[in-house]
Amino acid sequence: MALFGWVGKILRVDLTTGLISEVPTANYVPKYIGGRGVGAKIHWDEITPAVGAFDPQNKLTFMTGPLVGTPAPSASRTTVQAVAPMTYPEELYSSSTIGGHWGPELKFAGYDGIIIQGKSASPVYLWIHNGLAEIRDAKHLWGLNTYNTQKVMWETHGKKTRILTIGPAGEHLVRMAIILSDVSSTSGTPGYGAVMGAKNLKAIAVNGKGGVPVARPQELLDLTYYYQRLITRKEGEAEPPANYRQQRCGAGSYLGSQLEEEAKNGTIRAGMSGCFACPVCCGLSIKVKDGSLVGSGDIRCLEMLTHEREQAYYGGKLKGRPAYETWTLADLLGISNVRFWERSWFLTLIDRGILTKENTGLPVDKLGSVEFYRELLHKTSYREGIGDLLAEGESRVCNYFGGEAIPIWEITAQVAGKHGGSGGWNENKLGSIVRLGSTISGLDSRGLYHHSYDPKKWVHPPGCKCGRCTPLTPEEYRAVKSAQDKKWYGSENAGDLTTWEHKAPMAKKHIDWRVMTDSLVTCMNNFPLTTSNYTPDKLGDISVERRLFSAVTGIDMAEEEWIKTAERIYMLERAILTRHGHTRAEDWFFESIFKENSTWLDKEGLHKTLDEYYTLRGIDVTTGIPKRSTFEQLDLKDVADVLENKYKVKLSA
Amino acid sequence: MAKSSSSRSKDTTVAPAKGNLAVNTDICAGCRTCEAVCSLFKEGISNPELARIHVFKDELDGYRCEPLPCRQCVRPECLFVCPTGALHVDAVTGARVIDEKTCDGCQLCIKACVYKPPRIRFNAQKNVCFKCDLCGGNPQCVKFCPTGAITYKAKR
Repeated sequence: MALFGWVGKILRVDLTTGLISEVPTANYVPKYIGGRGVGAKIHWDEITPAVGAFDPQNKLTFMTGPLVGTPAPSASRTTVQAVAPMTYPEELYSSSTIGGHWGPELKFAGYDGIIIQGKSASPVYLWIHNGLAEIRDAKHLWGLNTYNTQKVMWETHGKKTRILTIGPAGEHLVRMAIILSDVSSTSGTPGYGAVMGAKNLKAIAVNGKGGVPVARPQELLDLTYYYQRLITRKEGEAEPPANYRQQRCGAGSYLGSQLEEEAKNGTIRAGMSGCFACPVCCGLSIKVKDGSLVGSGDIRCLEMLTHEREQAYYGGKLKGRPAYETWTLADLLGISNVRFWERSWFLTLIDRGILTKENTGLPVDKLGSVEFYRELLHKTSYREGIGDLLAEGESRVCNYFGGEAIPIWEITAQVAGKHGGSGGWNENKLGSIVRLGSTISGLDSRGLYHHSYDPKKWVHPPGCKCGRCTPLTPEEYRAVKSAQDKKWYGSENAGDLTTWEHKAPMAKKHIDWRVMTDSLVTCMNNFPLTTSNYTPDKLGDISVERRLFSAVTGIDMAEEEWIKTAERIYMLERAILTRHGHTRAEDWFFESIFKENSTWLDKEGLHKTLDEYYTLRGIDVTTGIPKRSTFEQLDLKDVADVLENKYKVKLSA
Repeated sequence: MAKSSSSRSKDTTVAPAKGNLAVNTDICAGCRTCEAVCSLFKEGISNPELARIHVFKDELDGYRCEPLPCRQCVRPECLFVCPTGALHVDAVTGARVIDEKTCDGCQLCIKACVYKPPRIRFNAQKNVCFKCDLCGGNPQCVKFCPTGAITYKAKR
């Protein structure tokens, strides 16, 4: 059967034996779609709970999806899967995504994905080109920062080559190590850079002359254009471009910043950058004209958050060029800078005197300066001095100190039990509590990391500084939010943070869409597109992903089947947790979280909502374990059998 | 063996194209939607190697991006050197276009292109050269460029 969208082969590389083989993608698709779905299936099939993040038995998978490499908007991404270094206390399976242009190039080179297993005896890299794959010596690359690694490899393999690389942090098995491509496209949160480091795998380079076949090209092009026009306008058109690009990753983050000031003065050149075939182009590209600044390139994704919160991060002191310099340093070293700043655990440890200048050797008195940050990142990336402890990540650092550091950790991690902890994939666990709504949406979501839900991203909100639009009034903005909640999530209450009502259905819908986004693989910035600046009612169109899938693959799916596909992938991920012993007890917050948020986070409400959510999912309300009937309805009977027979889990009917 | 130069002398002129593609490098984001769309529209498969336009990118130089379209030169050296006449002026758009049926894949046009990299490429599977033909007057890269970095500029 000819496949469209998928190019038909997944590469398997065994770094212990040096053996390279190919697995038919058709073993997994269309049932699991791609990306996160296929990643979960491979992990379920091939890994046991005993495997740790740094074990040679851990398998690191990179999965694109059927849309990647086609003009389907924002379908540029690759998901990365493995047992993750950052998960705590138990090392656990997680999933991450990386954008840019690597995934499409892997498709052009002839592969839908890669499975990396084993461990090389010495540093190597993978070179994949035109349907051939080789393991090559990387001694000349080991130790290089991420940009220099790529420079050397571009000289060897040509500029069209796209590279995933680790830096010194990954080489030193720093749990917050990232995998990076080009300048700022990264896989960050779970720490997979350290998994590559543990396998002595420095980089994966891909280059291909092939293409991605599309079943219904004109339909794809028409849908792409339709979707582009929901998202944005071109420069020169009367209507201004979408808020997202105007303001860079959230309202007001670039406009009015020091970097914008410099661009106006001409001391830096600031432009846009975008992932393959993406109409959003959310990246901010920076060139410092006097050549004085370390690094170059662009700012993407989560880096935009630290930029956006110039006020809040780094103790409020780093702005403009110094901030840009520190993000670039983190990219060069291949370490996640976001992990230090998430929920301020690190600053709080310093604030409370648990980490001091004396016991860290860091210039804590210069906190917030580039000098402090350089010291911190270098020491951590090379595991020098205190860096050896900090490299273990916030959960392990706080638990090392114990005592007063525990509540700090609990605020960061939020989720209790052995599958809690931050830095992992929270899809089947409680995630970040920012607002009441996100508590339950966080019930299976990366802390409501679903940019497209936020209307501010796509309509010009109150206070918009772009200078070219007529921004919504606060009343109009609230009306759009209510309308969005009602139309897509089923109730005006869906986003109402003062009530538990409708939070469970909202969470389920939200997560199902996220699962599909992560399987195709498109971008959570704009999928599903709940709002639009360019429609009369300011609402978007959430059917587009499913229709793009059909145009590319030729497989037509009604919405019901689409959601069932999402539920199936989700339930497979839940099964992975279940075989780790995950029960309802693990879907709960620390006591300190309830105390901290006692004005609105009541246990009774949370219990009821959890009951409701479990019922929607077909998870047993008492145990938190999926029912056998749920597995069977989702065509996962074999999974239920394995849970009962191999892992001795009792499934209710 | 290289064919002898065509019977057309350097003094030959051809009608200029009615317009060509202009680029604004300040707003090119390097997304390469143009490459994906062009190849899909012209060849039925999404493959940048088969696109008639490519984006030069220097990621480490502030992510500098520049689309490199065919300029539809007033003096098209590619056309002058073509020994079969496959490379000709399109009657409707004035674009310098290659007739796949009469192209013999000699690639002299690629060597003759004054731009580096050349704006003409070779399709090894079909054994023909290919280049931008302005999509018959409705250039798809212009339509699909999300920022408006590529535009169509009509002449006179």
